[in-house]
Amino acid sequence: MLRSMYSAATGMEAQQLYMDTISHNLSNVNTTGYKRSKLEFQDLMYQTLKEPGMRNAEGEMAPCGIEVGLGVKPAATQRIFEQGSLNQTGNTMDVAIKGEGFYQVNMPDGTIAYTRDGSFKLTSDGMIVTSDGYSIAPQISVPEGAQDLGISPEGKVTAILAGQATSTEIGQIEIARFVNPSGLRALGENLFGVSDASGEAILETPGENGIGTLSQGYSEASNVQVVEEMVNMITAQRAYEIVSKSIQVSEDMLQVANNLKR
Amino acid sequence: MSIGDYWHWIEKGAFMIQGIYLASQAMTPLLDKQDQIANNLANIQTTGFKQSGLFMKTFQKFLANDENQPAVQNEVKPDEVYVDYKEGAMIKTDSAFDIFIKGSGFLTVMSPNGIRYTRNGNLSLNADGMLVASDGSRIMGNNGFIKIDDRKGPVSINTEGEVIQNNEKIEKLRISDFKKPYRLIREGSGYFKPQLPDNPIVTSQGYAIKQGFLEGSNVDVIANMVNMISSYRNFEADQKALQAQDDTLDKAVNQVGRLS
Repeated sequence: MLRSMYSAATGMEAQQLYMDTISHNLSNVNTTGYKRSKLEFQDLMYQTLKEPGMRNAEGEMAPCGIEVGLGVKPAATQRIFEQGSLNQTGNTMDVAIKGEGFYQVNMPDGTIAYTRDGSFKLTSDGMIVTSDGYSIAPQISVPEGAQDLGISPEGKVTAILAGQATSTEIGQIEIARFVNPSGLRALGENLFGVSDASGEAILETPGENGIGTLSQGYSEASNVQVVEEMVNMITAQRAYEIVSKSIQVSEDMLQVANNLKR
Repeated sequence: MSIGDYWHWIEKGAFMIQGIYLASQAMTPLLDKQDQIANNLANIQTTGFKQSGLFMKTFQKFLANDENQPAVQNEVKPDEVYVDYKEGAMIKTDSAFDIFIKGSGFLTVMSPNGIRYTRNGNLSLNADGMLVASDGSRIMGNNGFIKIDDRKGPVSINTEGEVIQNNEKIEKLRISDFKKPYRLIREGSGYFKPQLPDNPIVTSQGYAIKQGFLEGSNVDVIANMVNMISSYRNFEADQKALQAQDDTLDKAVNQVGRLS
């Protein structure tokens, strides 16, 4: 009897976690380069009360057994790396990746993090950095007095240096790809870290081997789809209610059993 | 003392007590039924989940060939659990490695416990480029595991389950089926296991793979709610029947033969 209450409780817990994921997605609906995540469910193990194919007292074989499922478990939060829409910003330092790939960012502890957020800034000494002030890898610095900073779809950074009439190449942006981007570890601040599941980063020049190209003057919007999240929210809420009903009924049944002895 | 032991000393005229046991025997399977319903409702959002129900064996009659125990024993007990293999709803995800098996058939997966079968088509690539299920177990093709180099371009999976990249067939998903799907054992995590050699694995004939879709849970909320209500009311009715027997016994024991 108590089994059904615990299986239903796992259902309620799973729906709560689902709701957490949906809320996180919805709160990042305007985050540049944000990738939505999706919660996957799996059924928990089964308790076998009677093996299928067992023979009964008359020697007949039972076609099915008796298995009691013990509820549900959240299996994974899968990140969906679908392309977000590209919004024109008119800012020369906003560079979106069209297609697959991540910018590399130098973290203060010496490791490299990865991001899809290409809203870059310049520091006072001309270094190209992210909004949080982390420099991109390989580091690119813009000489003083340079004008008309241009970033080509292939990642070439050019500028017209002081006293010159034509543009000069001052750096090359490299982007990274992963065999399994869903396995990346989310670090917050739009950053991802490499993990055993994602595989090592494979560095490429933008546009080569099917990796994405860069679009200067655009930023990549979040790929959260509000309608889809709302529908998920409704189903999560209803599923939560339904499962709670089965706890109530189980409880009522226990009460009936309890009232056998008056 | 077990119920069986009582039979040996229940005399012909004492059948009223039998009624109490019959009503109580009907109540226990209803609790088992509630366990099934709770599990179905908990898995209302589980990809590829198949709902199950409980068949009850009612009134299995046998006459004991025993002078002391000539009674007809009517018992209700849980008989078997049936899994409903009805197809779940198609959910569009647009993910290249999400597949839906339309029709009969299971994906073949190398799990840590051996080969298992699943309807959960939420696949992805692991760090080595192997096609894996959501718990990391490798998916099996007709000639072994499936390794994809995603630098070569987008991957498509056609209706026959062939994994294709750059117009080149890499491998074909092994879609298995069973002569007796009703006899599969569920293992959790969406996995099914056949009992061999009784339930041989065959190659599925009638299926179509849809890429970019997942199979939703096939739990029928209304049917489960109705079952829950009806089994609850049955449970109450059984309780009333038991109490009525108890009242009659009370009269027989305490009031018959009372003088004043």
